[in-house]
Amino acid sequence: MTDAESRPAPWWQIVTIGRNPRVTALRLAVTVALVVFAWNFVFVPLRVTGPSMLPNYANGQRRFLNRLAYRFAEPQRGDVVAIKTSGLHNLYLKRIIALPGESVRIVQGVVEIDGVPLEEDYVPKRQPWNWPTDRPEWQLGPGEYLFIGDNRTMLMRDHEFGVQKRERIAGKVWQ
Amino acid sequence: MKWAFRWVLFAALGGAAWALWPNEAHKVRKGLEALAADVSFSPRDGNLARLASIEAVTSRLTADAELQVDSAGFAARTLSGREEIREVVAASRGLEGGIQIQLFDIVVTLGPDEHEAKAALTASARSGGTELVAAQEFVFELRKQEGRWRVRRIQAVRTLQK
Repeated sequence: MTDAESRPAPWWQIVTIGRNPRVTALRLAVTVALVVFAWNFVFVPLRVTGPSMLPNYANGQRRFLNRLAYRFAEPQRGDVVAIKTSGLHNLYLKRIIALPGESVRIVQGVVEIDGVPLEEDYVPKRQPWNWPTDRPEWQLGPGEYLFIGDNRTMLMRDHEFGVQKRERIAGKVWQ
Repeated sequence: MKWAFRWVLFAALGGAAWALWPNEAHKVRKGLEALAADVSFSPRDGNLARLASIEAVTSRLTADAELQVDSAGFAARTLSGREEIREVVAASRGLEGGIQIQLFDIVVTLGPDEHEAKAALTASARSGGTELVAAQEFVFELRKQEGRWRVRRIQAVRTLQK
């Protein structure tokens, strides 16, 4: 054993980079890798933009997306989810309103699922939307969901809502 | 410990080589990014620069190029032919705040003969700090002509169908 190896490390080194810098570097690399993995594949940070989820999700708010929420469970009515565009950079934040196989329509702003009005306590005010416009009701196919934002005070033509497949759901938004 | 560092180094080099190796999909992606850069312009750009960028946009399109727009807040419209698209790009140069186009998540699918390709992507457009288009999905169809990828068709796609 040489003098340098037997000599104890100075306190400043122990505080900043630990007794063994190589082990510290490896720990740091593993931690960074875990954080990067978690932030890309498990809990993705989101920033809400736009008015379509008002008053429950305001423009500029920060939330997390749980990417694993639907790995072992099915999406439920009322869940707030993020829907992928061509990737994960831009996501639509919407609420699941109707599930696969259901018939849905909106009459004077009130959503009807299989002819029964849906109670939506997350929608305080609403415009008299009528949808669909080209048929009496929309029949959802297998794996199809209807997504609508909470802000129903917007004009229907200005509000992005509609039907998309389950595989486009990127995850569930943490409340 | 040495073996661990070697493996990490090998993995990093392998990853870099994989990402940087030139292939047709990479060329398509670069071409689309260059097209977005050519459509974008700054209000500080002079007339010559604006004219040059219009020509650059046109040169990236096939003669029979088609543009189908159907975005929230905009009327559905189809532009047919390079010249009609050129006129619209030229008209956009009058916007006081300029235009900044950003492309995200470009997914390229090459045809079997690698002379045709499709690219799905999301684009956003801003003018002078104001959002013109928040996040619009598009499908680009491209054709390889004289060794260069040119855009044959651009179609706006609604993420949510209604």
